[in-house]
Amino acid sequence: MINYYQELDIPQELTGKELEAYLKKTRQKLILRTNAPDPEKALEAERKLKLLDEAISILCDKSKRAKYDKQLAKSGSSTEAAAARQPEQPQTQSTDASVEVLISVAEDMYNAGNLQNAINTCNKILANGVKDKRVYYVLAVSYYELNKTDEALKVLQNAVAENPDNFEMILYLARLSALIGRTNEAEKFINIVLEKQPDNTFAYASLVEVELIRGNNARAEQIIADINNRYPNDAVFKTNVSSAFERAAKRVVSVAKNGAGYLASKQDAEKYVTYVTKAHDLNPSEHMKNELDIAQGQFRKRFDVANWKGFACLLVACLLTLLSIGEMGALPFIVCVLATIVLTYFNFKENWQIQRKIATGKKDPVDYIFILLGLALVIVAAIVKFAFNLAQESLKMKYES
Amino acid sequence: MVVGIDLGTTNSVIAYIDASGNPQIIPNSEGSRIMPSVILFDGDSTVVGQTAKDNADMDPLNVVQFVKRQMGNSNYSFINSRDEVFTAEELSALILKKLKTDAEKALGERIDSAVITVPAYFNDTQRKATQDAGEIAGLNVIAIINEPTAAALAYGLSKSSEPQNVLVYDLGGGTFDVTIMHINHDDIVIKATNGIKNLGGFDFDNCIMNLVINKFKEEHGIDPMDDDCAYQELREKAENAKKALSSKNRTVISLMSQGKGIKMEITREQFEEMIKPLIDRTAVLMEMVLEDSGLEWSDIDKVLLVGGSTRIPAVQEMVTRVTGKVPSHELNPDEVVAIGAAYYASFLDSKEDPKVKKTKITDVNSHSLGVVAMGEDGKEYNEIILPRNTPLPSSEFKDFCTLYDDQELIKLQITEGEDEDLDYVNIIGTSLLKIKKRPKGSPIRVIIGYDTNSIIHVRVIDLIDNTDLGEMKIERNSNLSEEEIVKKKDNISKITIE
Repeated sequence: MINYYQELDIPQELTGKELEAYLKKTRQKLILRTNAPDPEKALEAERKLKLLDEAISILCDKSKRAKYDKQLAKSGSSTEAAAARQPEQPQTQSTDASVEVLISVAEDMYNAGNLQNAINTCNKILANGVKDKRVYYVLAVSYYELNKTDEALKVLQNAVAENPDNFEMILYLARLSALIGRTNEAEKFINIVLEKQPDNTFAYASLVEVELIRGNNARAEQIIADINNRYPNDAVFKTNVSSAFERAAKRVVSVAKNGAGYLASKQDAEKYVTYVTKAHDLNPSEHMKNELDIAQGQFRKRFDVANWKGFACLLVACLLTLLSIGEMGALPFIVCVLATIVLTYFNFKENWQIQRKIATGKKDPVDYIFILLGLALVIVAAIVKFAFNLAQESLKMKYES
Repeated sequence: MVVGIDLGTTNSVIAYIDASGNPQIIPNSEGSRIMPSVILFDGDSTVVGQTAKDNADMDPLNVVQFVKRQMGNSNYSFINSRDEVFTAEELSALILKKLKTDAEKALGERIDSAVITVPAYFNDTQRKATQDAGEIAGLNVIAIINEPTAAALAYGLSKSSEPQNVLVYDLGGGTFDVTIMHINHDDIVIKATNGIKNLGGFDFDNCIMNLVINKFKEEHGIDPMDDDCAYQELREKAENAKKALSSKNRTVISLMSQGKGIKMEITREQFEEMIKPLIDRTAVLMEMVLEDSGLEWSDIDKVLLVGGSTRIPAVQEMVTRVTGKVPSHELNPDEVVAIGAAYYASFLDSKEDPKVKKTKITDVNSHSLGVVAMGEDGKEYNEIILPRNTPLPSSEFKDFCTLYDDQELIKLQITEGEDEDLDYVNIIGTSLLKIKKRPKGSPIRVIIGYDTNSIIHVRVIDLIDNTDLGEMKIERNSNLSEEEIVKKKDNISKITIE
């Protein structure tokens, strides 16, 4: 009997979504391995791919897997292996290769916004005794995004306690502390790093972020100017400050998100555009250029008359609809309804796209209200028209009789 | 006269742009537009093309097929029964020479320059080997371009007014690759590419062959493959059966070996089930390339199918299902790459003519570059520095630490590949660097750069005092030297090809 767990380095404790993600990763890796320069290794990858196809058909089916696990437990190979493993670790000990894949699964889950699963996976990796800084980081940011800031802080504190010389982790801790408003604590952490590594420009970038969060923009600018003087052309500093401004811009949006769902005030929008422009100037990458285009588009769209123009179109269309009641025949009415829909659509289409791209990730509810309002008015007009026609009909019939 | 050549694993095609600007495939002396990339050393004569393929089963030890898979492999050589030794470059040169001489006869004009296409994932050793093959065949190779780029040129996408994102799915006789590019007029930007070296029509033929062989064994208890001739015969029949199943629902295949014979029916359903795991792999790669390109399926405006194997209905269905777009296949998938190469050749040829705008192609590095690093557990692994699908030119760095106090030397090994396991990557260059004595854990920065000519530059910097420890050039030891090329060119020019 083939032990898929051993052959393919599949951690036995994985189930559901995690298992699927793990198998998908393994599959991608094995397919690329068929390109190995050594033909023997390529054949080995080929053989494992075939095994993987079998494994997927069994392990991803709950009842088949239960049956397979039972049989595996009965067969000698697995009991021997389990017995050999038992004294060291209560759980299945994962191998190095599978840990690497698991970490990338966790990262992917985080990137895909699958936060709870990312947290579960990270905790599983840590429970296996693997202390990898990437795992701590993914775990912390996932907690943070779920608004579980205390847990996030605890994770990073643990990571720092375990390895007090890991300055990168201390700076992550500082950044997180700053993000949840504990700016003094953040500054303390950064100073610890700067004491030992006075040239660490990443630390200075974190300091800039702290000042931005405090709203002390003048101080932030001063640090930037200082560091630029001291270390001209330091790419690490520039990219990190750029992302600090990007996050500051996102914060403007996310604060607004809790309220109206879009940048309601001109002041907010201006702040947003300034931050993104700064971020772009410091790091004119493709990504930032894109962000800047969106930001500028957002600003323009939100504050020109597009929305009101759309609303005016709706009103005119409704007026026309109501006026057409007096006319005979359905044609003017249909034309008006179509015009309403088309005008509304074009007026809001562009706005929607911009709204969607912005960090909220959701459509602007206000635009829905405009559309719903438009449709409601059209329906009301249609009912009125219908009632009017009916009344006219019956009047006519009465008259004829 | 300039031409475009698609030097394929199983078939090769040559094309040019005629006086009125239309692409024309140049048929060979047997009158066929597509020539099998097969060479037969028959007695004293050398035969290339359909005749070689047809006679392959008579003399299997003197036949060379799939030489493209060996390009850039310095350990490969072919020895025929005349005891002549050929490298992969020379064998490819024989194919190119046949294309060249036949085309010259057909057009009555001398061909001096050519653009030759290669798969997008070919590394620079393989590209250089292809270029050398062209030189050996007596061609002035003015450019080596990627097959998917050629396909896009052939579809005239660079003439469209709208900028668009194009996915090219190329499943040929022996290789698969998928590329996503952004085309804006004459500006072609490759976004991402990936491929499988050994996957194509050949493997689909193998599926059918295995089916027949198993049935043969079951019925007669002997292995038909003990007979070399039966093997070649079956390969040919399997290929024909595969082609038939693209238009018919069932076909019949028969095999004779060692005095025994069978005849069996194969249905399309059976065939599709056999090749499904292989086609699914191409789907996995499409998803990976999309992810690398940073786009979504809805951003893809056009899907092009290239390569004979895309005629298989199951392949077209899969591509439509995955991309959500009905793929374009108005152009013959076997000819489209050569046509694109011919367009590009004529662009380059008319460079002096200011009326013709030059197409600009921005490429990506198709393989990640990195170094062999020592992990915390003391095991060596591949640390990627410049990830694949980064636009060229580009450069990236990573910082490393010295391993022990007063370390004097660093062994720098440059890798090419995605896997962290060193068994699955190529080591493309090695050098020993002298460093200053420092305490353990001193930072060393390794910068890997890739210029637009696909030349790799590696620079190492001591971060403590910011001194440059030197630049390393990647010597491609698996390619031919200048003298070897001249010598081989001389040898090949003496061979008459039929």
